[in-house]
Amino acid sequence: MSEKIVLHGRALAPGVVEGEALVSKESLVWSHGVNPPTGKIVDVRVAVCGECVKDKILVYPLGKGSTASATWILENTRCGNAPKAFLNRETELIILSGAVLSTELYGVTIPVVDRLDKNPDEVIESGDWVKVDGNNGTVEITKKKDR
Amino acid sequence: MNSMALRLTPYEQEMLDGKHGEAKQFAMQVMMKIGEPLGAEEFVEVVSVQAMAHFGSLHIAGRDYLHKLACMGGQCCVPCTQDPASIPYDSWEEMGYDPEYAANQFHLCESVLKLGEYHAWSCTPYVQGSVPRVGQNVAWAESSAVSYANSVLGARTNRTPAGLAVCAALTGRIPKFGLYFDENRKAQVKVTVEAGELSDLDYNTIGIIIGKRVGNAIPAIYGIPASATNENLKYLGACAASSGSVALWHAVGVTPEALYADPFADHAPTMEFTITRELLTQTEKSMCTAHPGEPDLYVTGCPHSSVAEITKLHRLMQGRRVKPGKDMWIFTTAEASNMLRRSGVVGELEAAGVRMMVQTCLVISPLVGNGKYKTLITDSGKNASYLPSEHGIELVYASMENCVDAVTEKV
Repeated sequence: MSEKIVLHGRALAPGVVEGEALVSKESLVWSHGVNPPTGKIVDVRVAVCGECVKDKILVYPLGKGSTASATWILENTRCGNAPKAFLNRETELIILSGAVLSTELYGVTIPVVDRLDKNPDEVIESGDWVKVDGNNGTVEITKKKDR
Repeated sequence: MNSMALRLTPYEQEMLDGKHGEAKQFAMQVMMKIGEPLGAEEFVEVVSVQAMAHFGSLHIAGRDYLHKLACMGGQCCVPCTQDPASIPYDSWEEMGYDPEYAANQFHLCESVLKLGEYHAWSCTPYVQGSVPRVGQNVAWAESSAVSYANSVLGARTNRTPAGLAVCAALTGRIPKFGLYFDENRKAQVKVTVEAGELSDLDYNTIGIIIGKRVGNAIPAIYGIPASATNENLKYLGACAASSGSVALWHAVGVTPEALYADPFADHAPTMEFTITRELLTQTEKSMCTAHPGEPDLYVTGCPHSSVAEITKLHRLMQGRRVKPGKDMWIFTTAEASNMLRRSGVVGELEAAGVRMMVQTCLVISPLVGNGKYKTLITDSGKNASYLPSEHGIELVYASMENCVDAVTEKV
């Protein structure tokens, strides 16, 4: 039987989704770091370079870099290449703005949860199946080996 | 949502209810959805906004968003400037920009002018008359401008994202959290600079080191002389904001929030380090890419060059001209360029082969990385942080004097 890990955090943007996790141990920069027409991470400085964020539960520690990043997230949404959800140690304004504008302008719900019981980038690995409830901040993880 | 209610003034409630038009209502709805979950309990009034409207980052989605707000009849109710455009409006054709790309930038320009933003197009609004006083709240985007507003001017802003800044411009409000609170502006990291006399380039390198070491914490820097120029502080902040995410720093005895009082009088630093001459030299070298060739393009003005910086460059260019096959571009404001054109400086620079790149920016433009230039040389630590990764180009990081030497010859 597969065992689920349940974490609780701060619900920042609403919605309930589930999908495969893509985890970066390093902080991600969206501005020039993710290519909207493909959804691929193109920042050569991070280990997940080359991975696609589309439909992933995207997990990384913090946002960093340019304040222009929110509109890069929004363009990913317009192109149909947005992640399904964001999980961070600490979400910052750039990520939350990108998620909220995606909902307001394109009707795409991207739940955002941060400040979980445990650091999500340490508990979750790429390939794990993750259910995110952005209404109450609950995150349910099924490890890859148990899927 | 696990949040406290966000209290609204009667006017804010009216904006949210749509009594002041569709655009203000949209802006308030967006800000409620961001402010409430982040725990903001009220809005602050802002005295100015630095927004963004460059196609290189806004893309089609951002272009359509600003068009939508303009069609809703949105009007800025506080002075609103914006970051450089993705093309030089006056010379995009001769520079070989793609017409479709240019058309998208002109579309954005039309929308922001309809919204009542200024035709500013600079990352240095603080030299264009947008100068908040100590303690005033603003909502600025652009990490280097945020750093300058918070640190050098003593105004208050978070790192306001593109897309949210325009909401603040339309309403004159932003949710109150983060750096709008006194208690969140205290220094956390103690940095001591012990490197003798500091050159212009050193201020860039100091910023790079601090950004890499402190991430998004608030450093207090000891050892910056009161004679440091505004340009020195501009570069220090821009570099700390691009190698890390520093939105606020204090320079003891220099910046307003650390002018008289010791930032660590009532609490201990979480981390301390010293910047020595050796560390500066080593970091300077590390900012150059692995296999630079002979530089074929010198770029300066990231953030935009001031009148003083272009004057210095003009002095270094006396009796020199750009070598055939090489280029020199100065990125600056229309205001600085116009003033220096009136005094003849720009005319002389242009005659020596220098190109003025007005109201635009290299980092967000598609010009570099198209194969024409192999190795770029710059005296901007922010350029050095961003360009190699974003445009896949070799780069040399050096002082203005060395940059000029690299691409010019005696007449």
